[in-house]
Amino acid sequence: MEGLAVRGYVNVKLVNSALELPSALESAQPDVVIFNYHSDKPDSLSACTTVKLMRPQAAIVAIVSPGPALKAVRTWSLQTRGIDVVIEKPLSDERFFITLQDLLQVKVSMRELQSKSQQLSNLVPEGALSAIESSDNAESELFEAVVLFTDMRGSSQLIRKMPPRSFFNLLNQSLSAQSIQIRQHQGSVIKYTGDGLMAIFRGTGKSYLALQCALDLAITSNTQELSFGVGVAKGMVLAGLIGDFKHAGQRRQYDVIGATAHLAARLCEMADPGEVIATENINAVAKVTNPTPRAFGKVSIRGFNHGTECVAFKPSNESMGVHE
Amino acid sequence: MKEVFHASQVSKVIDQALVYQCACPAQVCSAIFELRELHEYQMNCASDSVNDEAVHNTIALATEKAHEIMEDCLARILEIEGWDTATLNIPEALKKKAAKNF
Repeated sequence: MEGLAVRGYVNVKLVNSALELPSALESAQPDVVIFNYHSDKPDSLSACTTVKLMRPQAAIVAIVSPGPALKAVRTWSLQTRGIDVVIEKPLSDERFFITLQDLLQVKVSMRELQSKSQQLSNLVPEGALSAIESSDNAESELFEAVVLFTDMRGSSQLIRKMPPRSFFNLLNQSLSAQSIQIRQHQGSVIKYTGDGLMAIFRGTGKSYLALQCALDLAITSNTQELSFGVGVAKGMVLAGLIGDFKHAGQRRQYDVIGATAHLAARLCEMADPGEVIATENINAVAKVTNPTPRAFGKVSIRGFNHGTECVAFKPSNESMGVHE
Repeated sequence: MKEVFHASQVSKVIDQALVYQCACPAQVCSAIFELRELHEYQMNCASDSVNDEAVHNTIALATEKAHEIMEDCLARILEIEGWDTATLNIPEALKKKAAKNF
C-alpha cells in the first residue's frame, strides 16, 4: 500500500477478506483490482468472479507464485476469463508498475472512447447502428411501420421576429420534448427535418402507440409558442443506409423511405396546429374515440392513383382527460 | 528427481514474499520451480535420435544437481532467517523489514 501511495496511486483500498469485497467494490468502483493469490487458498479465486460480476469494467491483475499455483490460475483464467493479467511472484516492482500503468491507461482510453461513442450514438437514429453492424450494410430492410411527422407552424415568421440563437433554443427545446414523448411511446426518431421530425413505430401495438403519441404531441403543441401539426400513416417502409458505402469519408445517412413516409409527410402538411391527421387503417386498430375522430376523406400522394382514407383528431386537455 | 520441498511448501514461501517484501527466499523458490519445469520438460521431450536422448539426459542430470543445490540452499537460508520449518511462516523479525525497492 505504501509503495502504491509513493507512486501516486492514492485512491487505493485494501480488502482483506472475500466478505469485505462486495461493499468495497460498491464504494470504490475501481478501475483495476489487484488480487494476491495464495496457493493454499485456491477457493479464493471466486473473488475474481465477484469482481467480474459486480464491476465488469475493472481489470483484474492476479499475482501468483510460479509452479503449480500459476498453472492452476492460468487454467482457471482461460476457462472463466476471470483474470486479465497474471504476474508472477516474487514481484518485480518495475514490471508490476508498468503493467498497472498500462492497464490504467487502457481503462482511461476505453472510458474516453465509450463517452465519444455515446455522444455519436445520440447523433444517429436508432436502427442506424445495427444497419452499420450488419454483415452487408448496403442491405435495406422492408417492414410495416407507422410513420409520424411533425412540422411547426409559423416558424418562418417567428425566426424573423426572434434573435436566431433564441429561436434555435426554442426549436431545440420543442424537438427535444417531442423526442422524449416519442421514446416514451416506444417510437424511434429517424431524423429532424429542420422545424419538425420524422419518427417510426414498429412491432406489436404500433398503431395504438403511434396514434396515442401523436395525440399527446398535439396536446403539447397547444401549450407551446411553436405549435405544430402531426401526420401519421401506416404501411410498408424501406429502411437502410443511403449513400456510398464503399469509400471512406463519403456521407451516409440512415433513412426510412417509401409511399407511407410520403403520405405521413403530406398529412402533416395538411394538419392544422395542434391537429393530428392519420390514415384510417391506424384508427381501425387503435380504435380511439376520445377525442372523436373526424372523417377527413381520401388523401392522395403523387404517383398513386388511389387515395387513402384518413381521419383527423383535434385533441384538447379536456378531451384527453388532462387536467392542469 | 528427488524433491525435499513439496510444491505447496515452495509456493507458501513465495506467497509470503509479496506481503512482507522479503523476496530473497522467494527468488530461490522461483529457481526451484523453474528447475523442476526444466527437468519435467526434458523427461517428456521427444527423442528422435541417440544424440537427442543424450542431450536430454545431460540437461536432466545437470538440472537434478542444480535442483539439489537450490533446495539445500533454501533449507539453509530458511534456517538462517529463522523460519518455522513446520508451518513455513515468515519470522516476525522479517515482517518488520522495510521494503527496499517497492
